[in-house]
Amino acid sequence: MDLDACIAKLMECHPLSENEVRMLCDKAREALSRDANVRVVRSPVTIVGDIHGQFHDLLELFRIGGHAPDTNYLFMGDYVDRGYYSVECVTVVVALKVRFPERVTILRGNHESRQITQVYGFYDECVRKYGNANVWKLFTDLFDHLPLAASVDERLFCPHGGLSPSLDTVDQILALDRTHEVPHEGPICDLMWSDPDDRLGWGISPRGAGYTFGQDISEKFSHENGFDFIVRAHQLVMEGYNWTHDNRLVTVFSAPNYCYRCGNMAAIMEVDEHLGTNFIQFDPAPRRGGDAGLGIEVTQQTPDYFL
Amino acid sequence: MSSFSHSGEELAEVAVLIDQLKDEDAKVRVVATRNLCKIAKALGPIRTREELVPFVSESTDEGDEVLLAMVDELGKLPSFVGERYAYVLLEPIEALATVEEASVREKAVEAAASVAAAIDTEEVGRHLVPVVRRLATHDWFTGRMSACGLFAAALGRDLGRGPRRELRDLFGGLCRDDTPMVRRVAASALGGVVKADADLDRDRYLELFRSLADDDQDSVRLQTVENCVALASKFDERDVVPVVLATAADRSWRVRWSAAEAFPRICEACRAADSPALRASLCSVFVDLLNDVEAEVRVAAAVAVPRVAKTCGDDDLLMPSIEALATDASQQVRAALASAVGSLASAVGDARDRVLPVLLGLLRDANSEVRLNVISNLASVHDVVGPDVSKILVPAVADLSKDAKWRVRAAVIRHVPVVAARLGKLDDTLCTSCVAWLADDVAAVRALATTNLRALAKLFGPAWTKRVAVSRVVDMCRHRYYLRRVTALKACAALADVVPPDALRLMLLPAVLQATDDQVPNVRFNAAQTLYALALALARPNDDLPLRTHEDAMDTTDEPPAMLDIVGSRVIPRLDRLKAEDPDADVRDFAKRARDDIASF
Repeated sequence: MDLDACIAKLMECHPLSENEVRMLCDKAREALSRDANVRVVRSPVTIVGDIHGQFHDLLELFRIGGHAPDTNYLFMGDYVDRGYYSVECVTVVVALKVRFPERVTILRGNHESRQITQVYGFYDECVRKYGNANVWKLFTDLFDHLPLAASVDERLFCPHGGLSPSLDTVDQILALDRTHEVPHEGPICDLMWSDPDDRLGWGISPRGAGYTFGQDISEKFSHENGFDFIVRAHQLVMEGYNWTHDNRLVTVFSAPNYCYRCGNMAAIMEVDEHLGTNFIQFDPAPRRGGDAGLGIEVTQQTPDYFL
Repeated sequence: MSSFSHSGEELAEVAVLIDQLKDEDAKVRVVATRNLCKIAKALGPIRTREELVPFVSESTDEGDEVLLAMVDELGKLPSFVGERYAYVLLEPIEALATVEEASVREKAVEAAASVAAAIDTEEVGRHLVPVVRRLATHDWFTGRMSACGLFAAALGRDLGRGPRRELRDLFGGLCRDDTPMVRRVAASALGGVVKADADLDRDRYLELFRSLADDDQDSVRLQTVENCVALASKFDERDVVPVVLATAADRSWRVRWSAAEAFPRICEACRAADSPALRASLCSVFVDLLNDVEAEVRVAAAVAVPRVAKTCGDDDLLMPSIEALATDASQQVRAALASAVGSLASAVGDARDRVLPVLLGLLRDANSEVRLNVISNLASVHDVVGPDVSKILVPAVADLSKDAKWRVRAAVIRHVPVVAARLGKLDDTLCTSCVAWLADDVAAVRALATTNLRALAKLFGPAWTKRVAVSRVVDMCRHRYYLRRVTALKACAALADVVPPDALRLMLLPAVLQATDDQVPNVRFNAAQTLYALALALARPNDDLPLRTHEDAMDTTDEPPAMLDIVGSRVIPRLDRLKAEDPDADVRDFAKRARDDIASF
């Protein structure tokens, strides 16, 4: 299969055929099997937060951050659901991973799961675009192989969500068996679902999965594992990025005007070869024509999952 | 034999399609219905008339998609039912013209028109006129709306006085229908009817036109402007202009907007230049639109300014309003004026002196899009400003080059070569910007900056390229951030074939060779790609270099080593080493490609 041609096609917002997706997922499984649960990424790298099916904004992100392989990327999960182009978004990041395994890292987010995608749109979109759920099955099977977190030069810790009371060290994460659906509780669930909080210690998460953790937890984890700070995604932040826990933790969110209505900016985080950081904020990509203000080709019904 | 079995297969396929027309699954029926023409072709004209058309007429299908497919196909069927018999299609089409779904009705009207075009005048009288009559007096507004679209087709034929009078009466009735939606469609059909009706009853149509223009529904009055354009070309404009004037002062902003939007066409249709009085009245109405309370109307009027000024402008009347628009509270209005101001200069003639201050004001506008719109229409701006163009443009461009919105910066970069060509040189501010863009935060801006640098190098020649572009790009190859070094390498590649040979050999090549030892793999594989571009330039025969200046000739007096040798002695060994020894797979891959590409030339 000609990956460069597939990537070019995807960049034009044309989804691959079911057969191409099958071949891509086979290769991707192979590539991901070489990544540890916590993949060590070498700086320099550009870190990306949630994308959520906003394909035109992902293209804008590439216009801003540069294209692979010139720019190295670390995607921290949540490629699918909510936006109208989950299929295109997840296919393109997976294709980039397969084409440039040394330049691109993709992590698992809480939406890279069979259960969540059936509620928040990816499943419906696959059925609508392919006429059956095969592509959804191929991708959700692949999601089981995604790494749980990454570390940049073993100095920045990058999970999708946050920390877990069951995990004190990176070695413990490395010892987990990751190749199954995201569980309802436990360490893997926490890495995908937890959020930082202003209150110290561990707290019950209002999301019903994962925990909230305070500055003391972030400091302890970073200190014990030799990290400078934590970079994570998972939460909408109006400026696209947000420092908290006394600069021990930063949230990066890369879906501008989230759900086409939140009015937030997006951001990416460039980490240079000296571990210096530069955040670049961006607005939604300009859309064509005045179709319902969304500027995108809306299919017959508005999906009811975000109204 | 083979052709027989082929047609047998085709018949079997058609038999399946016919069955599928009655399928339980609506999706299957849609697909089969889309193939009505195919079925008709296989059945032949007689069976199509006697079996297929009645079958379709009796169809009780209610699925909108089936109906849409059906009406689409009916429009194409006239050539399949046999010459002279196209009218049989009117029966199913008439039924579809009364359904609830608007898109089906619209298509039905189109289909009926195509049938009407296929039959002769006598049959129009015998078959189409009764359809129009029934639809125009239909109990449901749906049928009456569809009827409005059929009058033009019928009145275009020579039907005789009686039928024609009847049709006109029916149309007049629809224009006064109780249902606003019907009046709206009638209003939008009026222009076509007037055009089609050969022996015009002028007063009658004018009366309809006036009453529709005076309707209490916005949606009906919204059609007035288009009718003005149609009627103005057919009637005496003296009858039309008062209605235009009233429309431009309508209480609904959407109606006023439609007047502003169509104003240039109205002016042109009225041939306003012929009559000073007419010009004056149109112009004064247009001034009102320029000063409208709604920004949308002012935007539309601002866009229309140059064309209106040309056809019926009175500069003394227009200029004060244009000057006011330049400081309008709405940035959209100012942006629209900024796009128009260039072409305005040639339209106003004597008032050119008054356009310049407007343009200068817009160039200093607080909003970057306004300024950008002025710069984007540079060619015509040049006509306004004249020889002093650089003094005015450069500060504006320099200012925009630092705009917070990256698309503004990108647009400015695209215009820099044009500005530079007009100015004949780049001043220091612009030069600094051109280099600064190479280090922009946004990758797309950096890419444009690279292309821009190449364009400028071509424009200003080898000496400038060497002194300004090459030295700064080479400096940037040592930037502390890898994305800047990558951009610098891409710029080296872009400049390779426009720099003088000594700069290529002594400045670009060493910098790129050094980059192959960079600690970041991305820089190394970009260096490999750039080495290929340099090798291509080195291998090129020397005589097609860009025009040499005196300065260049001085620099290259010593005989350069054979350029091709450099490829063999310095470029190829380095690529071979990267290809074999680099720890990164992508670097090895790109080095191999570059090496193979060099081998192939």
